[in-house]
Amino acid sequence: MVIENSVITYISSSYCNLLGFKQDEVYNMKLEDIFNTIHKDDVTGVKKKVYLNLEKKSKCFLYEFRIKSKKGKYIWREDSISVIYDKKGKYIKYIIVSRDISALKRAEEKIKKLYSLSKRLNEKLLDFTHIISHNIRSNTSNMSMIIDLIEDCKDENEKNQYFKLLKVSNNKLSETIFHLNETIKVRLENESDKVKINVKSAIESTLASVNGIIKKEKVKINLDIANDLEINTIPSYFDSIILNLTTNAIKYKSPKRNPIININAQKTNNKLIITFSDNGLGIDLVKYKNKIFGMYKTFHNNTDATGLGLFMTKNHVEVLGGSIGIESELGIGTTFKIQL
Amino acid sequence: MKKFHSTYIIDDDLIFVLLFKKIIEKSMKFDEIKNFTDAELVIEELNDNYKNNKKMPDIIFLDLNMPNIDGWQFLESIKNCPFSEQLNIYVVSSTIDNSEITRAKKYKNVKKFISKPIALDFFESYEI
Repeated sequence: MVIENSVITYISSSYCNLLGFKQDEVYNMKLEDIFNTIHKDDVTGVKKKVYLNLEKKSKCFLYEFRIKSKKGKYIWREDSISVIYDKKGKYIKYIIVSRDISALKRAEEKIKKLYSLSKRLNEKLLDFTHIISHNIRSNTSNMSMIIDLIEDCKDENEKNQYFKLLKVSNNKLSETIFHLNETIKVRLENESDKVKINVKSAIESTLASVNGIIKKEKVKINLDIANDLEINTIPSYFDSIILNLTTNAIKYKSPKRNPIININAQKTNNKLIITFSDNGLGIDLVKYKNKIFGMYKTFHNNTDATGLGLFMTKNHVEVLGGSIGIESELGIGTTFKIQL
Repeated sequence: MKKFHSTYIIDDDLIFVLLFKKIIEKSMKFDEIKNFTDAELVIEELNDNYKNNKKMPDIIFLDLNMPNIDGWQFLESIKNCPFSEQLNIYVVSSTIDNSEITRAKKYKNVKKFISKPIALDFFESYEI
Protein backbone atom coordinates (compact mmCIF):
# COMPACT_ATOMS: atom_id res chain seq x y z
CA MET A 1 0.00 0.00 0.00
CA VAL A 2 1.24 3.46 -0.86
CA ILE A 3 0.02 6.66 0.76
CA GLU A 4 0.73 10.07 -0.75
CA ASN A 5 -0.44 13.26 0.88
CA SER A 6 -2.80 11.32 3.19
CA VAL A 7 -4.48 9.61 0.25
CA ILE A 8 -4.14 5.95 -0.66
CA THR A 9 -2.63 5.87 -4.15
CA TYR A 10 -1.73 2.24 -4.57
CA ILE A 11 -3.12 -0.93 -3.11
CA SER A 12 -1.94 -4.44 -3.90
CA SER A 13 -4.34 -7.32 -4.33
CA SER A 14 -2.62 -9.30 -1.59
CA TYR A 15 -3.28 -6.45 0.87
CA CYS A 16 -6.98 -6.62 -0.06
CA ASN A 17 -7.00 -10.40 0.35
CA LEU A 18 -5.45 -10.07 3.77
CA LEU A 19 -8.36 -8.01 5.07
CA GLY A 20 -11.06 -9.30 2.75
CA PHE A 21 -11.82 -5.94 1.08
CA LYS A 22 -12.28 -5.22 -2.62
CA GLN A 23 -9.69 -2.86 -4.13
CA ASP A 24 -12.05 0.07 -4.69
CA GLU A 25 -13.35 -0.26 -1.14
CA VAL A 26 -9.82 0.36 0.12
CA TYR A 27 -9.20 3.21 -2.34
CA ASN A 28 -12.24 4.97 -0.92
CA MET A 29 -10.95 4.74 2.65
CA LYS A 30 -9.64 7.77 4.49
CA LEU A 31 -6.63 7.33 6.79
CA GLU A 32 -8.98 7.82 9.75
CA ASP A 33 -11.08 4.87 8.51
CA ILE A 34 -8.01 2.67 8.63
CA PHE A 35 -7.04 3.88 12.10
CA ASN A 36 -10.60 3.16 13.21
CA THR A 37 -10.28 -0.52 12.32
CA ILE A 38 -7.14 -0.95 14.43
CA HIS A 39 -7.72 -2.66 17.79
CA LYS A 40 -8.40 -0.08 20.51
CA ASP A 41 -5.50 -1.35 22.62
CA ASP A 42 -3.05 -0.91 19.75
CA VAL A 43 -4.20 2.24 17.95
CA THR A 44 -2.51 4.84 20.16
CA GLY A 45 0.76 2.93 20.03
CA VAL A 46 0.64 2.74 16.24
CA LYS A 47 -0.21 6.44 15.85
CA LYS A 48 2.59 7.41 18.21
CA LYS A 49 5.09 5.28 16.31
CA VAL A 50 4.01 6.68 12.91
CA TYR A 51 4.14 10.34 13.93
CA LEU A 52 7.36 9.97 15.90
CA ASN A 53 9.13 8.31 12.98
CA LEU A 54 7.85 10.87 10.46
CA GLU A 55 9.08 13.63 12.74
CA LYS A 56 12.50 11.98 12.96
CA LYS A 57 12.47 11.54 9.17
CA SER A 58 13.10 7.83 9.54
CA LYS A 59 13.32 6.06 6.22
CA CYS A 60 12.17 2.69 7.40
CA PHE A 61 10.58 1.31 10.52
CA LEU A 62 8.35 -1.49 11.75
CA TYR A 63 5.29 -1.91 13.94
CA GLU A 64 2.70 -4.55 14.70
CA PHE A 65 -0.96 -4.31 15.66
CA ARG A 66 -4.34 -5.99 15.41
CA ILE A 67 -6.70 -4.82 12.67
CA LYS A 68 -10.29 -5.73 11.93
CA SER A 69 -10.93 -7.54 8.66
CA LYS A 70 -14.10 -6.99 6.64
CA LYS A 71 -15.67 -9.94 8.41
CA GLY A 72 -15.03 -8.25 11.76
CA LYS A 73 -12.29 -10.65 12.86
CA TYR A 74 -9.07 -9.19 14.24
CA ILE A 75 -5.84 -10.29 12.60
CA TRP A 76 -2.31 -9.57 13.79
CA ARG A 77 -0.38 -7.61 11.23
CA GLU A 78 3.21 -6.48 10.96
CA ASP A 79 3.79 -3.40 8.80
CA SER A 80 7.23 -2.60 7.54
CA ILE A 81 7.35 0.97 6.34
CA SER A 82 9.53 2.81 3.88
CA VAL A 83 9.14 6.58 3.56
CA ILE A 84 10.43 8.92 0.89
CA TYR A 85 10.78 12.60 1.91
CA ASP A 86 11.18 15.73 -0.21
CA LYS A 87 13.98 18.27 0.29
CA LYS A 88 11.97 20.14 2.93
CA GLY A 89 11.50 16.98 4.88
CA LYS A 90 7.86 16.45 4.03
CA TYR A 91 7.00 12.87 3.19
CA ILE A 92 6.12 12.16 -0.44
CA LYS A 93 5.48 8.43 -0.41
CA TYR A 94 4.56 6.28 2.58
CA ILE A 95 4.98 2.66 1.49
CA ILE A 96 3.53 -0.12 3.62
CA VAL A 97 4.39 -3.78 3.22
CA SER A 98 2.01 -5.79 5.39
CA ARG A 99 2.42 -9.29 6.66
CA ASP A 100 -0.14 -11.44 8.47
CA ILE A 101 1.53 -12.53 11.73
CA SER A 102 -1.56 -14.00 13.44
CA ALA A 103 -0.14 -17.52 13.45
CA LEU A 104 3.12 -16.22 14.90
CA LYS A 105 1.26 -14.32 17.61
CA ARG A 106 -0.85 -17.33 18.48
CA ALA A 107 2.29 -19.41 18.83
CA GLU A 108 3.85 -16.68 20.97
CA GLU A 109 0.77 -16.61 23.23
CA LYS A 110 0.99 -20.36 23.59
CA ILE A 111 4.65 -20.21 24.51
CA LYS A 112 3.98 -17.50 27.08
CA LYS A 113 1.25 -19.61 28.66
CA LEU A 114 3.45 -22.68 28.66
CA TYR A 115 6.27 -20.68 30.18
CA SER A 116 4.19 -19.39 33.07
CA LEU A 117 2.75 -22.86 33.58
CA SER A 118 6.16 -24.49 33.75
CA LYS A 119 7.40 -21.72 36.01
CA ARG A 120 4.59 -22.47 38.43
CA LEU A 121 5.12 -26.19 38.18
CA ASN A 122 8.77 -25.65 38.94
CA GLU A 123 7.91 -23.63 42.03
CA LYS A 124 5.68 -26.48 43.14
CA LEU A 125 8.52 -28.91 42.56
CA LEU A 126 10.73 -26.85 44.87
CA ASP A 127 7.99 -26.99 47.50
CA PHE A 128 7.93 -30.74 47.13
CA THR A 129 11.70 -31.04 47.48
CA HIS A 130 11.24 -29.19 50.73
CA ILE A 131 8.46 -31.49 51.93
CA ILE A 132 10.38 -34.57 50.99
CA SER A 133 13.53 -33.22 52.64
CA HIS A 134 12.01 -32.17 55.88
CA ASN A 135 8.65 -33.77 56.42
CA ILE A 136 8.93 -37.18 54.83
CA ARG A 137 12.62 -37.79 55.36
CA SER A 138 12.55 -36.67 58.97
CA ASN A 139 10.07 -39.46 59.66
CA THR A 140 11.77 -42.14 57.58
CA SER A 141 15.13 -41.28 59.07
CA ASN A 142 13.69 -41.56 62.58
CA MET A 143 12.25 -44.92 61.62
CA SER A 144 15.52 -46.24 60.32
CA MET A 145 17.31 -45.06 63.46
CA ILE A 146 14.69 -46.76 65.62
CA ILE A 147 15.12 -50.00 63.70
CA ASP A 148 18.89 -49.79 64.21
CA LEU A 149 18.34 -49.30 67.92
CA ILE A 150 15.92 -52.24 68.11
CA GLU A 151 18.47 -54.44 66.40
CA ASP A 152 21.18 -53.33 68.75
CA CYS A 153 19.10 -53.61 71.91
CA LYS A 154 18.96 -56.64 74.19
CA ASP A 155 16.54 -55.41 76.80
CA GLU A 156 12.92 -56.43 76.02
CA ASN A 157 11.38 -53.43 77.79
CA GLU A 158 13.54 -51.02 75.90
CA LYS A 159 12.68 -52.80 72.68
CA ASN A 160 8.98 -52.31 73.37
CA GLN A 161 9.55 -48.61 73.88
CA TYR A 162 11.19 -48.43 70.49
CA PHE A 163 8.29 -50.26 68.89
CA LYS A 164 5.93 -47.65 70.26
CA LEU A 165 8.09 -44.90 68.82
CA LEU A 166 8.13 -46.72 65.52
CA LYS A 167 4.37 -46.70 65.50
CA VAL A 168 4.20 -42.98 66.24
CA SER A 169 6.69 -42.21 63.47
CA ASN A 170 4.80 -44.36 61.05
CA ASN A 171 1.55 -42.53 61.83
CA LYS A 172 3.23 -39.18 61.37
CA LEU A 173 4.55 -40.31 58.03
CA SER A 174 1.09 -41.42 56.87
CA GLU A 175 -0.32 -38.08 57.97
CA THR A 176 2.31 -36.17 56.01
CA ILE A 177 1.60 -38.19 52.90
CA PHE A 178 -2.12 -37.53 53.30
CA HIS A 179 -1.48 -33.78 53.47
CA LEU A 180 0.81 -34.00 50.50
CA ASN A 181 -2.06 -35.50 48.56
CA GLU A 182 -4.24 -32.53 49.52
CA THR A 183 -1.72 -30.06 48.14
CA ILE A 184 -1.31 -31.94 44.88
CA LYS A 185 -5.07 -31.66 44.36
CA VAL A 186 -4.66 -27.98 43.53
CA ARG A 187 -4.63 -28.23 39.77
CA LEU A 188 -3.62 -25.48 37.44
CA GLU A 189 -7.03 -24.29 36.38
CA ASN A 190 -8.33 -22.77 33.18
CA GLU A 191 -10.39 -19.63 32.77
CA SER A 192 -13.10 -21.90 31.39
CA ASP A 193 -13.61 -23.51 34.81
CA LYS A 194 -14.85 -20.19 36.17
CA VAL A 195 -18.54 -19.51 36.68
CA LYS A 196 -20.47 -16.47 37.87
CA ILE A 197 -21.54 -16.65 41.50
CA ASN A 198 -23.20 -14.27 43.93
CA VAL A 199 -20.56 -13.30 46.49
CA LYS A 200 -22.85 -12.82 49.47
CA SER A 201 -24.81 -16.04 49.10
CA ALA A 202 -21.63 -18.02 48.38
CA ILE A 203 -20.03 -16.74 51.59
CA GLU A 204 -23.23 -17.35 53.55
CA SER A 205 -23.45 -20.94 52.41
CA THR A 206 -19.78 -21.54 53.27
CA LEU A 207 -20.35 -20.12 56.75
CA ALA A 208 -23.45 -22.30 57.13
CA SER A 209 -21.29 -25.39 56.61
CA VAL A 210 -19.33 -24.54 59.78
CA ASN A 211 -22.35 -23.31 61.72
CA GLY A 212 -21.69 -25.86 64.48
CA ILE A 213 -18.30 -24.48 65.43
CA ILE A 214 -19.49 -20.88 64.97
CA LYS A 215 -22.25 -21.46 67.53
CA LYS A 216 -20.02 -23.43 69.89
CA GLU A 217 -17.33 -20.76 69.98
CA LYS A 218 -19.92 -17.93 70.13
CA VAL A 219 -18.52 -16.29 67.02
CA LYS A 220 -20.19 -13.14 65.75
CA ILE A 221 -19.85 -12.68 62.01
CA ASN A 222 -20.70 -9.38 60.32
CA LEU A 223 -21.13 -9.40 56.56
CA ASP A 224 -20.89 -6.14 54.68
CA ILE A 225 -21.52 -7.21 51.09
CA ALA A 226 -23.95 -5.80 48.49
CA ASN A 227 -26.71 -8.26 47.57
CA ASP A 228 -26.03 -8.04 43.85
CA LEU A 229 -22.24 -8.39 43.96
CA GLU A 230 -21.06 -11.11 41.58
CA ILE A 231 -17.73 -12.68 40.68
CA ASN A 232 -16.38 -14.99 38.02
CA THR A 233 -14.58 -17.70 39.92
CA ILE A 234 -14.05 -21.39 40.57
CA PRO A 235 -16.64 -22.03 43.30
CA SER A 236 -14.79 -24.81 45.14
CA TYR A 237 -11.69 -22.61 45.50
CA PHE A 238 -13.66 -19.58 46.56
CA ASP A 239 -15.41 -21.74 49.13
CA SER A 240 -12.14 -23.15 50.42
CA ILE A 241 -10.57 -19.69 50.79
CA ILE A 242 -13.48 -18.40 52.89
CA LEU A 243 -13.64 -21.62 54.88
CA ASN A 244 -9.92 -21.62 55.66
CA LEU A 245 -9.88 -17.99 56.77
CA THR A 246 -12.96 -18.53 58.94
CA THR A 247 -11.66 -21.63 60.70
CA ASN A 248 -8.27 -19.99 61.04
CA ALA A 249 -9.82 -16.94 62.73
CA ILE A 250 -11.70 -19.21 65.14
CA LYS A 251 -8.72 -21.45 65.84
CA TYR A 252 -6.56 -18.47 66.79
CA LYS A 253 -9.20 -16.57 68.74
CA SER A 254 -8.21 -14.60 71.78
CA PRO A 255 -9.03 -16.36 75.06
CA LYS A 256 -10.02 -12.96 76.45
CA ARG A 257 -13.04 -12.26 74.24
CA ASN A 258 -15.67 -13.83 72.01
CA PRO A 259 -14.53 -13.96 68.40
CA ILE A 260 -15.85 -11.34 65.98
CA ILE A 261 -15.23 -11.72 62.24
CA ASN A 262 -15.96 -8.88 59.82
CA ILE A 263 -16.19 -9.78 56.15
CA ASN A 264 -16.42 -6.93 53.68
CA ALA A 265 -16.48 -7.33 49.91
CA GLN A 266 -16.67 -4.78 47.13
CA LYS A 267 -15.60 -4.21 43.56
CA THR A 268 -12.91 -1.64 42.78
CA ASN A 269 -11.52 -1.29 39.25
CA ASN A 270 -13.26 -4.49 38.22
CA LYS A 271 -11.43 -6.40 40.97
CA LEU A 272 -13.19 -7.99 43.91
CA ILE A 273 -11.62 -6.92 47.19
CA ILE A 274 -12.50 -9.04 50.21
CA THR A 275 -11.39 -7.83 53.62
CA PHE A 276 -11.53 -10.44 56.31
CA SER A 277 -10.72 -9.28 59.81
CA ASP A 278 -10.89 -10.84 63.27
CA ASN A 279 -10.25 -9.83 66.88
CA GLY A 280 -8.09 -12.86 67.63
CA LEU A 281 -4.58 -13.43 68.92
CA GLY A 282 -2.87 -11.63 66.06
CA ILE A 283 0.56 -12.53 64.85
CA ASP A 284 3.99 -10.90 65.00
CA LEU A 285 4.53 -9.91 61.38
CA VAL A 286 7.97 -8.44 61.91
CA LYS A 287 9.14 -11.88 62.93
CA TYR A 288 7.07 -14.01 60.60
CA LYS A 289 6.32 -11.91 57.54
CA ASN A 290 8.16 -14.20 55.13
CA LYS A 291 6.69 -17.34 56.57
CA ILE A 292 3.00 -16.57 57.02
CA PHE A 293 1.91 -18.25 53.82
CA GLY A 294 4.70 -20.81 53.77
CA MET A 295 4.24 -24.53 53.79
CA TYR A 296 4.25 -26.37 57.12
CA LYS A 297 4.67 -23.18 59.12
CA THR A 298 2.89 -23.00 62.45
CA PHE A 299 3.16 -20.16 64.90
CA HIS A 300 1.06 -20.66 67.97
CA ASN A 301 2.18 -24.02 69.38
CA ASN A 302 -1.27 -25.28 68.48
CA THR A 303 -1.03 -29.05 68.26
CA ASP A 304 -3.76 -29.47 65.65
CA ALA A 305 -2.15 -26.94 63.31
CA THR A 306 -0.90 -28.60 60.13
CA GLY A 307 0.83 -25.53 58.73
CA LEU A 308 -1.06 -25.97 55.49
CA GLY A 309 -4.13 -23.74 55.91
CA LEU A 310 -2.73 -20.40 54.82
CA PHE A 311 -0.39 -22.06 52.35
CA MET A 312 -3.40 -23.63 50.63
CA THR A 313 -5.38 -20.38 50.84
CA LYS A 314 -2.62 -18.48 49.08
CA ASN A 315 -2.34 -21.27 46.53
CA HIS A 316 -6.07 -21.10 45.78
CA VAL A 317 -6.07 -17.30 45.53
CA GLU A 318 -3.15 -17.40 43.11
CA VAL A 319 -4.68 -20.11 40.95
CA LEU A 320 -7.69 -17.78 40.63
CA GLY A 321 -5.31 -15.07 39.44
CA GLY A 322 -5.54 -13.00 42.63
CA SER A 323 -3.36 -11.94 45.52
CA ILE A 324 -3.58 -12.03 49.31
CA GLY A 325 -2.05 -9.78 51.95
CA ILE A 326 -2.06 -9.67 55.74
CA GLU A 327 -2.04 -7.03 58.44
CA SER A 328 -1.91 -8.01 62.07
CA GLU A 329 -1.27 -6.76 65.54
CA LEU A 330 -0.49 -9.01 68.49
CA GLY A 331 -3.38 -9.13 70.93
CA ILE A 332 -5.65 -7.06 68.67
CA GLY A 333 -6.40 -9.17 65.61
CA THR A 334 -5.63 -9.99 62.03
CA THR A 335 -6.90 -8.68 58.69
CA PHE A 336 -6.54 -10.52 55.41
CA LYS A 337 -7.07 -8.59 52.20
CA ILE A 338 -7.81 -10.64 49.10
CA GLN A 339 -7.94 -9.31 45.59
CA LEU A 340 -9.62 -11.54 43.04
CA MET B 1 39.31 -39.09 73.44
CA LYS B 2 37.93 -35.59 73.41
CA LYS B 3 35.04 -35.01 75.82
CA PHE B 4 32.21 -32.51 75.73
CA HIS B 5 30.96 -31.24 79.03
CA SER B 6 28.02 -29.25 77.85
CA THR B 7 25.99 -30.15 74.77
CA TYR B 8 22.90 -28.42 73.35
CA ILE B 9 20.47 -30.13 70.98
CA ILE B 10 18.07 -27.77 69.17
CA ASP B 11 15.34 -29.74 67.42
CA ASP B 12 11.54 -29.66 67.63
CA ASP B 13 11.22 -33.35 66.69
CA LEU B 14 11.16 -34.99 70.12
CA ILE B 15 11.41 -38.51 68.75
CA PHE B 16 14.60 -37.61 66.97
CA VAL B 17 15.97 -35.94 70.09
CA LEU B 18 15.34 -39.09 72.10
CA LEU B 19 17.05 -41.29 69.51
CA PHE B 20 19.90 -38.84 69.05
CA LYS B 21 20.52 -38.76 72.79
CA LYS B 22 20.73 -42.55 72.83
CA ILE B 23 23.29 -42.44 70.07
CA ILE B 24 25.50 -39.77 71.58
CA GLU B 25 25.28 -41.39 75.00
CA LYS B 26 26.61 -44.61 73.50
CA SER B 27 29.77 -42.85 72.42
CA MET B 28 30.45 -41.71 76.00
CA LYS B 29 31.89 -38.45 74.75
CA PHE B 30 29.15 -36.18 76.07
CA ASP B 31 28.42 -35.35 79.68
CA GLU B 32 25.63 -32.88 80.19
CA ILE B 33 23.05 -32.76 77.38
CA LYS B 34 20.34 -30.12 77.18
CA ASN B 35 17.68 -30.10 74.51
CA PHE B 36 15.54 -27.23 73.21
CA THR B 37 12.57 -27.26 70.86
CA ASP B 38 12.61 -23.48 70.41
CA ALA B 39 15.79 -21.91 69.01
CA GLU B 40 14.75 -18.50 70.29
CA LEU B 41 15.16 -19.69 73.87
CA VAL B 42 18.69 -20.80 73.03
CA ILE B 43 19.58 -17.33 71.78
CA GLU B 44 18.30 -15.90 75.06
CA GLU B 45 20.25 -18.43 77.08
CA LEU B 46 23.47 -17.88 75.13
CA ASN B 47 23.21 -14.12 75.60
CA ASP B 48 22.51 -14.66 79.26
CA ASN B 49 25.49 -17.00 79.64
CA TYR B 50 27.75 -14.51 77.94
CA LYS B 51 26.61 -11.57 80.06
CA ASN B 52 26.95 -13.47 83.32
CA ASN B 53 30.21 -15.09 82.36
CA LYS B 54 28.66 -18.53 82.53
CA LYS B 55 29.98 -21.44 80.55
CA MET B 56 29.08 -21.68 76.89
CA PRO B 57 28.08 -25.06 75.43
CA ASP B 58 31.00 -26.99 73.96
CA ILE B 59 28.90 -28.17 71.06
CA ILE B 60 25.48 -27.35 69.56
CA PHE B 61 23.52 -29.74 67.35
CA LEU B 62 21.11 -27.65 65.29
CA ASP B 63 18.12 -28.73 63.20
CA LEU B 64 17.09 -26.54 60.26
CA ASN B 65 13.36 -26.97 59.89
CA MET B 66 11.59 -25.73 63.03
CA PRO B 67 8.52 -23.67 63.86
CA ASN B 68 8.94 -20.26 65.47
CA ILE B 69 12.46 -19.42 64.36
CA ASP B 70 14.19 -22.01 62.17
CA GLY B 71 17.83 -23.05 61.99
CA TRP B 72 18.67 -20.37 59.44
CA GLN B 73 17.24 -17.60 61.57
CA PHE B 74 19.19 -18.97 64.53
CA LEU B 75 22.46 -18.90 62.56
CA GLU B 76 21.71 -15.39 61.30
CA SER B 77 20.88 -13.97 64.72
CA ILE B 78 24.00 -15.29 66.44
CA LYS B 79 26.32 -14.50 63.53
CA ASN B 80 27.25 -11.09 64.87
CA CYS B 81 27.09 -11.85 68.58
CA PRO B 82 30.35 -11.35 70.50
CA PHE B 83 30.38 -15.03 71.48
CA SER B 84 29.75 -16.25 67.94
CA GLU B 85 33.34 -17.41 67.43
CA GLN B 86 33.28 -19.59 70.53
CA LEU B 87 30.37 -21.65 69.25
CA ASN B 88 30.84 -25.04 67.77
CA ILE B 89 27.76 -25.79 65.69
CA TYR B 90 26.86 -29.03 63.93
CA VAL B 91 23.88 -28.73 61.63
CA VAL B 92 21.83 -31.92 61.73
CA SER B 93 19.16 -32.17 59.05
CA SER B 94 17.25 -34.56 56.83
CA THR B 95 17.50 -32.28 53.81
CA ILE B 96 18.36 -33.70 50.40
CA ASP B 97 18.74 -30.24 48.95
CA ASN B 98 22.43 -29.64 48.24
CA SER B 99 21.97 -25.88 48.23
CA GLU B 100 20.97 -26.06 51.90
CA ILE B 101 24.14 -27.98 52.73
CA THR B 102 26.32 -25.45 50.90
CA ARG B 103 24.46 -22.60 52.56
CA ALA B 104 24.96 -24.05 56.03
CA LYS B 105 28.69 -24.49 55.50
CA LYS B 106 29.06 -20.79 54.71
CA TYR B 107 28.60 -19.92 58.38
CA LYS B 108 31.95 -19.71 60.16
CA ASN B 109 30.76 -21.40 63.32
CA VAL B 110 29.13 -24.31 61.48
CA LYS B 111 31.77 -27.02 61.77
CA LYS B 112 29.98 -29.80 59.94
CA PHE B 113 26.77 -30.83 58.29
CA ILE B 114 25.41 -34.14 59.54
CA SER B 115 22.68 -35.84 57.51
CA LYS B 116 19.82 -37.65 59.20
CA PRO B 117 19.47 -40.58 59.75
CA ILE B 118 22.53 -41.00 61.93
CA ALA B 119 24.24 -44.39 62.32
CA LEU B 120 24.43 -45.80 65.85
CA ASP B 121 28.22 -45.79 65.82
CA PHE B 122 28.56 -42.37 64.20
CA PHE B 123 30.20 -40.68 67.18
CA GLU B 124 32.29 -43.69 68.03
CA SER B 125 34.01 -43.67 64.68
CA TYR B 126 33.88 -39.94 64.06
CA GLU B 127 36.41 -37.76 65.82
CA ILE B 128 34.75 -34.41 66.42
